[in-house]
Amino acid sequence: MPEGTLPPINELRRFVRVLLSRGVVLFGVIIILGTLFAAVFAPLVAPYDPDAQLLDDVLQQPNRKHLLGSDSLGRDTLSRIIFGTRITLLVGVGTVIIAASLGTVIGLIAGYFGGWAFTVIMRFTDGIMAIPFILLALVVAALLGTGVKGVMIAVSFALWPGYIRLICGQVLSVKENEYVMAARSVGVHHIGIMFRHILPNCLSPLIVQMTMMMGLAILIEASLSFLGFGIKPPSAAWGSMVYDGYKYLVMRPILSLAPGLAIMLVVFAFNMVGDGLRDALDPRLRGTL
Amino acid sequence: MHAVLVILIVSLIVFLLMRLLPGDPILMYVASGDLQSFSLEQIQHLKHQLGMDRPLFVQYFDWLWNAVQGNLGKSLLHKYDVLEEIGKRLPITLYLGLIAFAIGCVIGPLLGVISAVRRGKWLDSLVTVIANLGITAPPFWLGILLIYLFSLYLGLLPVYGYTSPSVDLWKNLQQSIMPIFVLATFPIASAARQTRSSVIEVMRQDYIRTAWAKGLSERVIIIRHVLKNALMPVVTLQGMLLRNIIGGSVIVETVFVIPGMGKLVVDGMLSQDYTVVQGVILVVAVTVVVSNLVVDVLYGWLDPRIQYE
Repeated sequence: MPEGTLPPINELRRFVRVLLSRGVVLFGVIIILGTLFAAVFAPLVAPYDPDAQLLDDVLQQPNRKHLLGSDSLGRDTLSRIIFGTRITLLVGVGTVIIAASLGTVIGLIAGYFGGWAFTVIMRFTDGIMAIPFILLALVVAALLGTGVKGVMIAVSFALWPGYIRLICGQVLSVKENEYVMAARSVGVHHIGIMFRHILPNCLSPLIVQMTMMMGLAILIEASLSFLGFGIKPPSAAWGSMVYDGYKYLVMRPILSLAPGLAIMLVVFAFNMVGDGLRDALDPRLRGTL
Repeated sequence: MHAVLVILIVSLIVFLLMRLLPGDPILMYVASGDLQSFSLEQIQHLKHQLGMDRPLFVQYFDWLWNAVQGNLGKSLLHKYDVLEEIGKRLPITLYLGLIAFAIGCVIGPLLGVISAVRRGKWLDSLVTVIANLGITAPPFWLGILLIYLFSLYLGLLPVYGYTSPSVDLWKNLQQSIMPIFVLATFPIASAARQTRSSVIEVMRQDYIRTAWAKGLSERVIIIRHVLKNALMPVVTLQGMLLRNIIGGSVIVETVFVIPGMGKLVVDGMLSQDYTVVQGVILVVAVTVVVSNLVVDVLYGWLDPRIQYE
């Protein structure tokens, strides 16, 4: 083949191949798709209504009727875990979208304009980041009251400073590129430069961060629910299921251990896919993988 | 200067958040006595006494000024001095947290190096899987699992509680093993992951190839050439973990019923005892900012290229 006519590399196919080449990432993708399926088709997949209190079947051992047993009110654990995927995914995806969009816009402003906008925003970010995630989420959740919406805002509030830092750092290096100068010189508006020229070049670390943070968001939500500040019963949230089951640990350990295992599995899946995305999106590794 | 500014910002955020919280602190104060016997006038009087009828910013500066002088106010519910209570509980949290942190600092990087050096071998796979599980395990779940296994099923360890090591060292050790294990899991796992990837990255560098070519032994190359350059990101991570000691205590102290800072703040939130929560968060933020300074100094020492004005 003469030089210069190499077959074009299909970027998307390369991306998918690299992403799925590691078994553990593939496992993560499957778990996430499975969770998504369970969330969408929960009423069809779950053997029982998650809130139905079957008073004859209180605190059952795992058996053929209740594969993962049932809780103190006679609710089927498996059905509650299946319906719990809805809250888990909603909180995971929702908080990350809220936190990432807010953080990205503020980070863009701080990094692009520099000067005192940078100073004020970054000092404020330092201030929020000095308070541990969980404490911040705890206070904001208490402020907004329990419920899915309140918890989502609380968790986003704990996570958004991370995005400000990330995007700001990216912008500081991207804005030194000549194409930014070129855009300025032909008179493109600041907003145009920020969103059309700088933002697309910050996307890969953002996507990786977002995937990783989904795991973290789910963990924080579960922790809040466990502490009693998150999503309150009777909603089927995994964190509060672990807490409820804790009271019956001696008799029915599965009530607490099964939903905890579900949390762990989903968080693990998001982390692994995040890892895989980082490798697949890293331009330094392009060609080697 | 920067640190002072950050602490000021934190104090403002905390103060405003606490004031926005639903529930009237004054009612908490009264309810702890006898709500029936208080008339509206008396409540007004009490508000005046506690200075809660003044403008918000006056209250803020008053609180801040007192805090600077070491007075974080009294618990609304139990009337104890907040700073004194923190003084009693902080050592417990730091005792468990620092032991766990130290374990993480040693074992994490060690596992990471072993795994990187034996890259692709079964040992590497084992470490990677354990590390990946370690960063995902929800601490409350891990705690419950341990309690079930070691306390209820095997009956080897006490279920929960805390005894000061100066009172009964043996009992303290028995009670601390599980909390320390839970607290150390994340530091070990994340440090192992970080060390592994940065060691692998450094091992690709030209100067490492040169070192091999010179005929140096593997031990010398790893310790003298690789580790020194690979540890920078690990130190950053450890700084983050150090800052998270008190944050991490929130869950663990609730699961194992340990009277530390985390339990204090959760109880304070549950009973809407805002002066307590406010005080704890301020103290936590100050420790975080101070540990940031320590990490910065460490940086300069590890990498002489970094200079601070």
